[in-house]
Amino acid sequence: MSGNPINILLVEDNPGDVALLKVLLSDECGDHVSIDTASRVSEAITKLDAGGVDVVLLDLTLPDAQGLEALVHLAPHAHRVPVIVQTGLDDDDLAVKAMQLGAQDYINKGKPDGRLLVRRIRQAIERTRTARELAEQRRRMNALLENIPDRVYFKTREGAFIQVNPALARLYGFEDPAQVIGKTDADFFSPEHARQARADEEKVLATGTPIVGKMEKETFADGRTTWALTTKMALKDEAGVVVGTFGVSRDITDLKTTEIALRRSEERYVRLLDSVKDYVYTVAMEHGQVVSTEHGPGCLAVTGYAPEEFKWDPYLWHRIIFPEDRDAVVQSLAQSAKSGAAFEVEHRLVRKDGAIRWVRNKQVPRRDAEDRIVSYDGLMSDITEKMRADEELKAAHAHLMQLEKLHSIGQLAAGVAHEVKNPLQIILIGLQYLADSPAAQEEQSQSVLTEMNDAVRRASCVVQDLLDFSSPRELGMQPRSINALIEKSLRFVRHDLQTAKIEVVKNLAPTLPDALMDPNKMEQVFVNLITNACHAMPKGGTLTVNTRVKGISQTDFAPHKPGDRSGIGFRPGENVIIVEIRDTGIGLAPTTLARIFEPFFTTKSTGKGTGLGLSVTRKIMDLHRGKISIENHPGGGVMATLTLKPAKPADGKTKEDHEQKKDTSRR
Amino acid sequence: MSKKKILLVDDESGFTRLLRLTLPAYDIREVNDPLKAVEVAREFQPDMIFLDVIMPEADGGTVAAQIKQEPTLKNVPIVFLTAIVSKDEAQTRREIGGCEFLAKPVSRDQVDECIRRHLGS
Repeated sequence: MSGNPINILLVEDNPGDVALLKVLLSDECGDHVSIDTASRVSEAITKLDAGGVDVVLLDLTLPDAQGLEALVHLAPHAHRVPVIVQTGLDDDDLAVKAMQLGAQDYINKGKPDGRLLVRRIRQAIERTRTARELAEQRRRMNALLENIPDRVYFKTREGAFIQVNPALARLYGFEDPAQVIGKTDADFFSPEHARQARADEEKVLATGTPIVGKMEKETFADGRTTWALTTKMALKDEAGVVVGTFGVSRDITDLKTTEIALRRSEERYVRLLDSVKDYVYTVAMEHGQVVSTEHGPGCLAVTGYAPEEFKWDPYLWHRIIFPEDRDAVVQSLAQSAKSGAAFEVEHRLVRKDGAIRWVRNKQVPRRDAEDRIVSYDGLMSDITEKMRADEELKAAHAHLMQLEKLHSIGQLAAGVAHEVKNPLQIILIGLQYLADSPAAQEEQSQSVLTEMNDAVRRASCVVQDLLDFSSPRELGMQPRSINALIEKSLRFVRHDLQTAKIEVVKNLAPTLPDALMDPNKMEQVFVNLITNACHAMPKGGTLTVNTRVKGISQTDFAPHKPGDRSGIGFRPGENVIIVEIRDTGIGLAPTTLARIFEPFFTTKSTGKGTGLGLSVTRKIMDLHRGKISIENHPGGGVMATLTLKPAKPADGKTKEDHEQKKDTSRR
Repeated sequence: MSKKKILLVDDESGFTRLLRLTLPAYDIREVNDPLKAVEVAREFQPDMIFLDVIMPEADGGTVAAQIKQEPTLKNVPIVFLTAIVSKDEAQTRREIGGCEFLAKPVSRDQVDECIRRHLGS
């Protein structure tokens, strides 16, 4: 034996029996036992209360208590100490009663056996300790189950409750957890929820794998709902066989309700914010200077700035006005200050996030008794959507007007052509008839006839250009290679290029996608632009033609002028084909550039051009839903840039990809 | 070898007369009233016909359709002359209809070249 000696309290009034037991025990255990004695129950109680006793050996015939009475007195003081009753008689009934009263064991004094005694003492101590530990564990477990707000349950394989804690019982409407035993989820929840819960249990039963922290909406049979975070595990017996399930679920209804309320509130806020299109403001003035501004809460939605930001920075309102519109707004303001009248102005402003919005700004000056302006009270309304709709309407209207105009011009042109060309026809043939006559053989007559011939041809060309310009022809669209068409157009004007000693540089992207176009019309565009470039370089120069793919950015086509439908079909993020045709001439004056697409506007001398070439070119680009721009190039000369849609969405390659692969051949 | 017979239908008598005078190599018959064109054609039996498109009373297309119905004339090449056709249209119509279009004003040489092309003389 090892460890501390066993402290035995021997309650015995017979000194002989005491001596005998001491001998028996020390023989068996040596100094591993320590024996204290008490000859009366009262003495034994005192010693037990003092502590340090591991086991009590109680004789049932004592001077102050007889029989089981001794045990009845002693037991309350020995609740953690095993009591072994010694009976002098071989009386089983007494032994059974003693056990019922709390004795751990009994031994017969008539048959003293040291080894048996020691073994039974040890077993009694061990049993008491185990029972105490079990009781302690159970107490702790019960404390947990009784008090924890989470719901805990144990179920059979079939889903019937074996044990539940009060929290779960309360959820089901019972005070006593025992009332839940034997019931299943189907007794409490909606059929759908019970089915789902059962399916989860069956999964746990089949796999042994727990379901941890599942968030579920519990719908009760009466329609009430709660939210819970649930963990379900397999319940195993000693042999590790799954005999049921157990689990814990936490009520998160409050949390969830708060979360839902918060989300709804946020959504409502966003909706409200989105719907706010107006706000009021006041600009306080002193001696003609702004001293402070006060903006209504709606300013956040319209401008992106909070009311405090306007308060801290009295000139913020001025800075957020779109730069180009600032002078006009300030002028209106000054006008209003001077006249004392209210003013209303529509302008753009730059939001905090950089977006540009259209606003209608109505302001009324307020004056003090001495007629000094003390403040402006204003109403700012976001009219971006309205402006956008107006723009589209204007553009559609302008397009319609343009079509009608073209139709009228077409009819006029046809009439003019018929009435002018027929006389020209007679003059032309007449000139040829005269050229054959003997009188025409004189040198002077010949030169007169040649001049007249040229004049007829020039007049005819003007009428022909007018017809071409106004012919409302439908386009024969087909996917074609822009690069091939450029090559063809260059061959067409080869003679002009060579005559003017113009070098041609081509940077044609080899992977350029096909464009959807009317090849005849588009060839007319290229020939027109290349011919113009030739005319811009009468003493030679370089004609550069570039093609590439480009991704449209937000700013590429942002503001459309009313009526301008060019490039209206382009969307940011889309890939388009870019063609650039550049000359190295002297460039164009800004006044010329502004009017360059106007019909009959020309810088060429009479007879060299009708002023319809670029009008026709732009009309063709419009019909292709493309875009043309003509600008002076920073490096000199003029550059025409064409933007066209690919026949099918261009590949995902970036502009850089295409540029890297560019063919830079020269000829 | 007899001269090729050319029927010229145009309401502009000045033009038809001058063209006839400048092209003496052909036997040119002028018709200035389109309503008489078919009748003259039937009688004249031309090798080739030039038809103005816009004329009073009957346009060139109607006249051409009537001529095409004449058994003895249906294979005679017809060339339209017009003052109001754009370059594109002239090109496209040639490709589509099989009939050639010449945009006025035409020169004597253009007409001559056109006749040679069709009649191979």
